[in-house]
Amino acid sequence: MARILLIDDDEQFRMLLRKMLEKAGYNDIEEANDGSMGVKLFRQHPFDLVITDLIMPDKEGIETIIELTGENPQIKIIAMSGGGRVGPQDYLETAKRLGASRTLAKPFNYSELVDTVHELLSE
Amino acid sequence: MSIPDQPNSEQFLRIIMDNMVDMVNMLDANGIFYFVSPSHERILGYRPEEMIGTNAYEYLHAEDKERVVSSFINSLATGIAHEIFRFRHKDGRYMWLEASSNLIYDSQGIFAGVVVGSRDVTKRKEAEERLRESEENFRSIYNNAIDGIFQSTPEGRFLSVNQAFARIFGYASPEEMITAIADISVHYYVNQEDRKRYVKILEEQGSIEGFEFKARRKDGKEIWISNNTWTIYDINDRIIRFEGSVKDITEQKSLALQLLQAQKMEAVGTMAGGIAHDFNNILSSMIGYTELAMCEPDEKERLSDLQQVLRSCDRAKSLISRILAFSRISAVDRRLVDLSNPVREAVKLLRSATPTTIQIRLNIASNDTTAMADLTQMHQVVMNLCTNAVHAMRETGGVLEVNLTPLDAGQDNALTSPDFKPGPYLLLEVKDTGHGMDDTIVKLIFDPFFTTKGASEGTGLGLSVVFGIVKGHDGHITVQSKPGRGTTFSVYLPRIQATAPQETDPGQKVAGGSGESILFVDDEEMLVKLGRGMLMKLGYTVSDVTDSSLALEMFMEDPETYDLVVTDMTMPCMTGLELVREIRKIRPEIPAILCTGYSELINEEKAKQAGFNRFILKPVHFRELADAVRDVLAEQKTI
Repeated sequence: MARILLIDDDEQFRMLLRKMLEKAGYNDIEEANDGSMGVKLFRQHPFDLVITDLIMPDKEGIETIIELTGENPQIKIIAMSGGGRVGPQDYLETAKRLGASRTLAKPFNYSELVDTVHELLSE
Repeated sequence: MSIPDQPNSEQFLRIIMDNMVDMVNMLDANGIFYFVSPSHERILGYRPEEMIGTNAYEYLHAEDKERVVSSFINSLATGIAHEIFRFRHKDGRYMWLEASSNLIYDSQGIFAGVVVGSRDVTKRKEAEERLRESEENFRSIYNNAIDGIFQSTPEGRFLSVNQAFARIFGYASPEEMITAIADISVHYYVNQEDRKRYVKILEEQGSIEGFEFKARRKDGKEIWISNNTWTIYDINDRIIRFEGSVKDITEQKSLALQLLQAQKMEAVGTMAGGIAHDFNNILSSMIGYTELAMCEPDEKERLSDLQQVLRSCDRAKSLISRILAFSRISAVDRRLVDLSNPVREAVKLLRSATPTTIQIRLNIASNDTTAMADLTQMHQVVMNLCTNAVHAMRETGGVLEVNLTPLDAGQDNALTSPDFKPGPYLLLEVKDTGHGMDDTIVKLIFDPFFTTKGASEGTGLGLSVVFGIVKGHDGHITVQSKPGRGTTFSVYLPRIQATAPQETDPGQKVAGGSGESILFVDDEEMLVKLGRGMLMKLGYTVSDVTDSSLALEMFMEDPETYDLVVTDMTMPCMTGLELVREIRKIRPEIPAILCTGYSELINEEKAKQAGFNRFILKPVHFRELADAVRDVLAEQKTI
C-alpha cells in the first residue's frame, strides 16, 4: 500500500483529504502542517506520494517541492493551491516546472483527487 | 583772515579750467580741436595736447556720427545744440557725454567754430540702459510666461492680466478678459466662498501660496487653478491691489485622482488574491465534506461530515467580516468581551504555524481583562502583531512574548500622546527578540502598503489595518524598537470594569415556536428553502415566497394569518423596506425582521428607524434566526 504524506496548514482540509483518501483505500497517511515539518517527516521515512499545499506560513510549498525533489528526484508530488495574485494556476504552473508531477486547483472534488492519486501511483 | 590777491583774467581762467569737473573744448569751423580743457585727461584719458589738432568727428561712435553732425548743422541756424553721444576714451571704450555747444564768430562776424561744454553721463546712461533692459525683460516674461500673471483690486476687478492668463481662460486677449470679468467673485470664481476665503487670508497674512480653487473659463468650463498672490499697500498700509500668478492644475488634479484609483485597484487586486486563496480552501472543505456526507451510510459519520460543512460556513462568514474590517466599511460588532479569549485563541493558532526555534510566552492577567471590542478585529490585531514578530525572528529564532495586563494610566504613567486620556486601560504587549528596526522604518510602519517583507510575504496593509482598528476602539498603539534589539508593540485599549457575559454554548437547546405563522420572503430560492427549513424545524408555520410583490398579495388576501414577516432587503420589484411599509398600512403592529447581506442602503440603525424589530446580517445562523424570531414574537405578546 502506498505511503502518502499530506502537507497543508489548514487542519480541517487535511482531515478531509485524509478521509477522502482513506475512503479510496489509502490508509498509510502522515500529516504535516507546514513545509518544514513535511521535509522533516520525509527524511525520516520514505513516502510514495506527497500531496502539498503551496501557500503556507513558514516554509511554503514551492520551497518544499524543491527540497523534496532534492532529497529524491523521483518522488511523486501533487501540488494544490487555492489562489495567488492572479489565480491558482499561477503558482501551480511554477510548482509543475519545479518538480510537481500533478497539480490540483482548489476547490476540487473527491473524484478529481482520487483519480489523480490513482493515476499517478499506477505510473 | 586775509583775502588772496585778485587774479588777472588769464590766471582766473586757468584756475577755473584746472578745477572744473566738466570739460570745455573749442573747435574751428572744420571741427578741429584748438582748445581742450585739462579735465579731458581725467575723464577721457587724453592730454589736451594729444587732442589739439585732431578732428572731433574721429572720436565719435559710428552710430552717433550722423546724429551729432545733423544736430550741429541745425545749430548753425539756432545758435545752440544739445546732444548726448558716445565719445571714444583713450583706452578704446566709449563714454557717454552730454554736450551743449555755442557758435563762435570772429571779429568780422564770420562763423569761426564752436565752444563745447560736456560732461560724463556714462553712469547715468548705463543705469537707464539697465532699467530699459529690465523693463524689456519683464515685459518679455510677462508676455511669454506660461503661467498667468495678474494685478487686481481687492474689490474684484482685474487691472492687468498677461497673454497666458487670457489664454488659460479662453479669451482672445488680455483686454477682452479684463472687460468681460466685471466682478472676479461672480464671473471668475465657481464658488464665491473661495474668493472670500482668499481675500481674508490676504488681508490677514499679506500673501498666499498655492491657493487652489475652481474657476470658470469663458466657455463656462470649470478648471482648477493654483494661485500665488502678494499684496501691495499704500503709505497708510491700505491694500491698493493684489498681484500674483495662476496655474491651471486641472490635469494634475485628474492625475492625482487616477493615481489614487490605481492604488486602490492595486489593493483590491492584492486582496482578491488573498480572498481567492482563503475562499477556495473553504470551498474545498465544503465540497469535499458534502460529497462524503452524501455517500456516508453511517448516520453518526454523516453528521460529523455535515458539522465540518457548517464549520466551513463559519469560516467563510468570519472571512467576510475580516474583508469588511479591512475595507473599513464593516458592520463592526463591538460588545463587552473578555480580551483574554481572542488573545489565547490567536496565540494557539500561531503555535502550530511557528517554527520550534521560536519560543512563545503568554502572560495573561487572571481577571480584569474586559473591554468593549469587536472579537474578530481583536483576533486580527493579535494575529497581525504576532505574525510580524515571528517573521522578524524566523531566521535566528528567539522569544515571542504576549502580555495582557490591566493598567490604570494616571498623569505619571500616561502616554505622551496629546489625545491619551488617563483612566483604566488594558495593555496588550507583543514583544520579539528579532532584528528590530531603525527610526526611519519605525516612522513608516503604520503607512498603508509599507512592508519590509518580500513580494509574496505580505501586502504591507497589516499594520495600517491594526492602527485603524485600535483607533476605532478609542485605543492607542506605540512601538519601541532598536536594530538588533527586538521590537515591542504596545496596544492600549479602554478597559471596562465589568465581567463579560459568557459565550452562548452552541450545544444549548435553541428556542422553538408553537405554530406561529411566519411570512418568509427572499428572492433567492435556495435561501427561502433554507429559511423555511430552519423555521419549520423550530416549530413555526411558514409561508415562503421569492417575489416580494407576490408576498404583498398573499398578505393582503389574509392579513390576520401572519404573526411575523421575515424579509430580505434587496429584491427586484419591491425592496424589503417597501414591502413592510405596504404591509404595515394594513396591519401597523405586525413585527418584521430584516435579513440582509452587506448593503450600503441599510444598517442596523436604519433598519430600526425604518420600523424593523430586528436586523440579521447574512449568512444567517440557525441560532441567530431562532433567537430573533422568538424574541420578536415574545415582545409582541407582552405588548
